[in-house]
Amino acid sequence: MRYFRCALIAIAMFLFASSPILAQIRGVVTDATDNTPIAGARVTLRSADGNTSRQTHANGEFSFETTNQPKDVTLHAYGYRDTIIAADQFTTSGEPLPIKLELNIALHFDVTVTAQKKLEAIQDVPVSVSTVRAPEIESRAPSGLDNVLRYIPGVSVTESEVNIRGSSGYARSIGSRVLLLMDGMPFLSADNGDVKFDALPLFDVERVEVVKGAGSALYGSSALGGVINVITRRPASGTHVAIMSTAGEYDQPSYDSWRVPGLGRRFLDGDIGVSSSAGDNAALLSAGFKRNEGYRLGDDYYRLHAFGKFTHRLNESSSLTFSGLVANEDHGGWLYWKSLAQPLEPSDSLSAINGRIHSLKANAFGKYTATIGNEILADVNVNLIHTKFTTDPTLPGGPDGNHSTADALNFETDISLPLTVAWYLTSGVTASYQTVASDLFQNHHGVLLGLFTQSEIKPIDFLTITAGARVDHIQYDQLTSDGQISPKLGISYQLTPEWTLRTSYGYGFRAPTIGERFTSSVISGFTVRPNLDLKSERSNSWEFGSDVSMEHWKLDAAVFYSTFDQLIEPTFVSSQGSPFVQFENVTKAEIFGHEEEIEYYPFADQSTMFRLGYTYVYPHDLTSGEILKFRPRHLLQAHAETGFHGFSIGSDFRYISSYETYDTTLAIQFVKDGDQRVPIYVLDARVGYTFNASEGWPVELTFQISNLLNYYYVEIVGNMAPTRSFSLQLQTHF
Amino acid sequence: MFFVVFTSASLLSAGGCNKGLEPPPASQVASISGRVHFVSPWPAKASVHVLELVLVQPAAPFADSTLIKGLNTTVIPLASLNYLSGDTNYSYSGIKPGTYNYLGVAQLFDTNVYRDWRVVGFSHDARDSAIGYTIHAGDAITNADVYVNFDSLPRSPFTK
Repeated sequence: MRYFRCALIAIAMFLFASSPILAQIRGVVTDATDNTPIAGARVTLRSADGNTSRQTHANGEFSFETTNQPKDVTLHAYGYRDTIIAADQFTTSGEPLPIKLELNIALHFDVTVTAQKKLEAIQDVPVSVSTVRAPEIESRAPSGLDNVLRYIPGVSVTESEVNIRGSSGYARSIGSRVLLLMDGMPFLSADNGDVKFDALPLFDVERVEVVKGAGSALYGSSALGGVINVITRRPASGTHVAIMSTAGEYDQPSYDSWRVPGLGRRFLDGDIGVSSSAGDNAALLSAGFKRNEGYRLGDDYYRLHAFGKFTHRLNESSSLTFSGLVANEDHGGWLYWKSLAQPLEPSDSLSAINGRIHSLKANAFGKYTATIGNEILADVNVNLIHTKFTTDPTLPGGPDGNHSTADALNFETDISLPLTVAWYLTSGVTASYQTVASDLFQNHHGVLLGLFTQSEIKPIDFLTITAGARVDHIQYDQLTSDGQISPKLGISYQLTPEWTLRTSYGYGFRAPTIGERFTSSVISGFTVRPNLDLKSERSNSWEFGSDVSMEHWKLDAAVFYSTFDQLIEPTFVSSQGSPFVQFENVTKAEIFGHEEEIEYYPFADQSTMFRLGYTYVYPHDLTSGEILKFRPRHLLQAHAETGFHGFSIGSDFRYISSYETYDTTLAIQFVKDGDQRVPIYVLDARVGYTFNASEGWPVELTFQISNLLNYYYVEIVGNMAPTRSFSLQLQTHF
Repeated sequence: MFFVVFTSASLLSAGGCNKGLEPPPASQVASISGRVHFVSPWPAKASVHVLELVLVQPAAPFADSTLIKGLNTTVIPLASLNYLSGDTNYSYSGIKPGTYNYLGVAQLFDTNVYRDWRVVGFSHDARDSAIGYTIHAGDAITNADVYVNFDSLPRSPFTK
């Protein structure tokens, strides 16, 4: 092997020596609007002997060394106008030429890296995908990523559980049926398998992608109802500092009897980030805090968080990325209200006993990306998610209350390559090791292994067929292992450049979490017993959709049908003498519905935008014959924003119909007035002004009213949602 | 103009003055307050899984599964009491009008929530008989004190 390498080097040196370089073409590609680097743009060098293609690196750079007379360079990136630059524009000194790509406004292209595990235009993938970009995320920064998701068509959130098209109800934050990824890697806790929204670095999120429908064929366990990928931003070229701070206050409730004397109701948060790049290195570092006195008594929190990202270009074709985050929080142990007569005070009755919760979440991520030749992309990803919580001691000075420490080490390597001009292959291997130490779940570990492959075939122009499958092996402790085979099939057909039809089938599964399998404890008087026979939940999703993108508007419509089997729920078992709570596979269900989303841009500069989404879901429990618990049938979400002369105005509205069925066995019996629920109408509005908009140091001041109507509602039993709040947000960067 | 149309449509669809959930009418609920006195040493922590102040409609002390099945309907949990806590004031509003046979402190001494309950203190008169409460809408009952004695449990059944 060593001799072989030496021979290759010798041959390369010979070729190098015998073929003098005529030109060195280097450039750095950035977005013309915000100057962020564009990674993955396709760069084609045309020379006397033909074409050579490369992709831009994470920092937007590319380079060619050619021995032939170069003619021009063509740049192509999804969502941007194709740009051709004559070769003589590039400097002879080898300095990279700055190239700014303009957005392709006419087509409203948006891209996804989640749907197919590679960069594609949303119009080209056979499944429904919604995206949210940084400005929209920042506008909701005070309230967290969960509030960003609440305005995506077809998505609702109850506490930390995300429901995509009826896939999830409310299971006390145990076992998410939607897989959350951060930068493409799983980001669920190892014990409860839940989403830690408060750990996500919202200040540094570039975009959020939501893929609707079962996605286990690429992502394995938990992608039962869909996949959410939170993509952090890349360090910008040059050195930049960004600051954002929000201060606000919750309004008093309209009813005197609900007011809680002495409740602070104020909130304040601040973030500062620094981004810098030099040569082959780029880094960003941010840190911040959140202090929220809460709109309810005993529901306050204090949080410190930090995020860092570092990229290093090893050579022309490979790069390394490292990132890390840490979030430390002290939160009141709110469970549910005292009653509807006192909804902003915590219950002090049976099963609501809970001390303050102290939690730590951390994530370390590493990625190696390489381009082999001009066409083969390969990467290796590793992340470690650490979560820990403790509750206050029952006695002053005594041992901690409930506690859990969980770690998940995830590994994935995949490769993408064109087998022929019309056949693109993506394959990979994943492995995950989970370990938990807890008084609730005891000490356990689990291993999840996966192998996937996906082919994307274009047999004729405008037709794309995607087929793939994944094999998973899951084992906890020494228990019998579980295996899953998850197929997928998708067809996308472009009728015209503006109109695409799509249809897809996907399989999903969710392996029971360690919390669901092994909880063995007496919690607030209830004995919870483990269930070692728990099986994986399974789903099958079908969808047919259509997407039309015109100059001023975009319309997406889909009909979908899903079946669910072996759904896991906590069940009160009372038939064997001493009653206890246990997680069991109890429900079989089917869900069908339709979803429509329209975006309208009245002006060519996209300064004004209106989006309206409606989703109808019929979630039918085939076991009981009733509607599935905690699932709304109707969701309507609207978003509008406009900007002129430095001013910006934005508004969001959502309507969610009332749950038709809910948990009467556990939640309602122990939560006074737990059956109280209403349809949800929430309107948020904001107005902002940017000072020094044309200068190098713009300062944006935004006044925001959340829940403008001061509408009172619950998303989960016994939990009043946030009342109206007023806030002032300051943002600047230089 | 466009924004105005959007906001107006949102407001209209939100049902105008509809505020969503609202408190139950004051005329339909009542309140009760008082103090829980602990007059004996505490037992071992292992035998105090839950200690709950409850207002109870059924006959004393508890029928099988009454406490669990009747929660919020015929048994009103007023407050949880921490292990080793001292004398504690309580105040609770939102009680539905009705006749309640007694006000007591219930201890879950083992893990069977259907079976392992006992009354360790109650609100009683000078003759050690339980005080019953007939609560009307809008009533505000005060000084409803309860005396807990783990060493001398109330006789069972105890009556007025």
